Amino acid sequence: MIKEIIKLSQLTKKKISFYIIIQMVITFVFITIVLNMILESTIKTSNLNNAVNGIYKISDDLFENDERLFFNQSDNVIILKKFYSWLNHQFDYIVLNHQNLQIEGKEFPDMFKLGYEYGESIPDIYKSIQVNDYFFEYFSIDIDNGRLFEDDDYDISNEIVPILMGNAYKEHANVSDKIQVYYCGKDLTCEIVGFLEDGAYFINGIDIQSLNRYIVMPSFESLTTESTTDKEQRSFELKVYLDKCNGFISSGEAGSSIQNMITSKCYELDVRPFLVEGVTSFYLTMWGLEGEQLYQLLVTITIVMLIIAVFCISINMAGKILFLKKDLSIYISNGLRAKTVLLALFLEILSCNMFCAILGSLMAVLVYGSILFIPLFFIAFINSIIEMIYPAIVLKKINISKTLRGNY
Amino acid sequence: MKILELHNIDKSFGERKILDNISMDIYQGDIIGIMGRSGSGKTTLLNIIGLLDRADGGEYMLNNQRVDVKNEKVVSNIRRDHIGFVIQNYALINERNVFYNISVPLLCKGLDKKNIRKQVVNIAEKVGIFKLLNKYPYELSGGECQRVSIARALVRNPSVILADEPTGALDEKTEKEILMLFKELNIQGITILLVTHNQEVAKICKTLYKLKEGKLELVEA
Repeated sequence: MIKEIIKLSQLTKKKISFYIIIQMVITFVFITIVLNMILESTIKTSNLNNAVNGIYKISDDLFENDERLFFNQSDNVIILKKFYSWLNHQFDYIVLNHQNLQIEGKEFPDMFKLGYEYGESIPDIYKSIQVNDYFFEYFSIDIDNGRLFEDDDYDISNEIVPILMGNAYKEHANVSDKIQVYYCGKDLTCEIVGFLEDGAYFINGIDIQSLNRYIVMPSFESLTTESTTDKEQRSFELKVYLDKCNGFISSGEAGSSIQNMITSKCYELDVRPFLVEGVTSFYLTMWGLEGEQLYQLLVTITIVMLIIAVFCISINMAGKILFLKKDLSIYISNGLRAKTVLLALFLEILSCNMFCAILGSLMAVLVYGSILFIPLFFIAFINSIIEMIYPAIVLKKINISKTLRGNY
Repeated sequence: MKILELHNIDKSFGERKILDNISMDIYQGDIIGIMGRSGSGKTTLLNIIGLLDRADGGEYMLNNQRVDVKNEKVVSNIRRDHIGFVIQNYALINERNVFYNISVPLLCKGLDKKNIRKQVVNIAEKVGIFKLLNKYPYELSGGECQRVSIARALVRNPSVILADEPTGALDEKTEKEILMLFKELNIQGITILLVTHNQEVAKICKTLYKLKEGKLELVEA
């Protein structure tokens, strides 16, 4: 009998049913978009908050005479290697070094060059950073195509250096392309192994930087703890390891405690203590507030849309009941329970909601690549219950006897 | 055999008392008429008997079972299995054919298609509308519609048929045909309760009551 009621309901007011479905599809499409935006922004905000909280910059304190003395010290590379090794084991350590690259034999658009954002592009100098493994993990960076760095890619003795390109490079280069670069006084042959996902970012200690226009190089590591006898190579390793030791620590501990640990380690290694600075989060906080406002706005819009949709669908269904009240009264006077009628109408609304939820979910899969079946089905079910409240009141108020006699 | 008993039934709408201490017994095979002016409470009484409304006081027994205190589920089942309605404007579903309209009470009971077909065909033959089974209500005359309505009321073999102004929308000739049908059905043993203000309808009744100022008076037995 439930099937009969649903059939009758769909036969009688086809236009209204059609409008109900269209309205619900639009609502669910909107809910899907907003839900995805909320989820995405929540994930990004949370990643960002994680990135901002408890991050400390490590800087050497070598100036003028101290620097000269250290550079002349014969075991400086060994000290730095030991210090880096200790940092890496002691903390969640991020190597993030800004050493721009000079590219030879290939020209990329100006937007990739240093200074482009300030109106003065420096010829042949391209923005680049050198990073370790943990950098990708910490900033939740993934690739668009190709691959991320593997353990062997960090080896300082590699003849061909693997590099990752920012997403904006995608239109100007391909995976496996080779590029000649000049880095820290050395000519290197680099091979593109992948492109980073769009919107990947990092925090440079002051503000957020998009990685879209950056070239990312592995921060080189030497497999030996000893220093090389090759003067040129030794100078290269010194620069590389000094940069590596000027990285970031992610820690829940207080800055002073970290400073104490580093100072004592530096004394142990007989090097001037490195300094620990908390990273300023002024810009990040501003961005966070805007993000929060955007989040609130999206939630408000979703709720308003949902209320309007539920209201309209409820009114539509009540109108349908009023239109069908003669037929429904005939069924009820012939022994059908009002509760069965309600159940049939509820199932009709629920199936419409579920159908639209499936459409919404499919859209989410196609557009966002994420599946939202469970939250959307939950919303569809709750919607259906709320949407049935007013129609149930309307059905209860129908005077069956009067309706059957034609006194509507 | 007594199939329906009303004891001291009261019903008011606001301050106005519509039914005042109504008592009535209906026996198997009776054909009873209730007359009265517009607004005298005829339809209200019929609604209470048909379990579409509840009385404020009194007792209602159907087939020796008190039914006025049952829950909605039981009341729906009693309405489906023991009471048949025939209404002035036929109350047919216009979007469905005659066959479907007659089968509504059987569908509500959840019978299978084969059983429904058998019972619908039987009753359609009985009331002379077999040829109309595939037609739609809007393709029928008033008399034919009322026959469909009667067939629907009869299809589940109810204890009593409640007819509210069954000929009110018909011309004189068709009215006679429908009254004749009621008479034939009654001869076959079907109990009928007619509510009308039409003297012609009243003529076919074995017992006639008049409802006046909420009181039921026996006019003719």
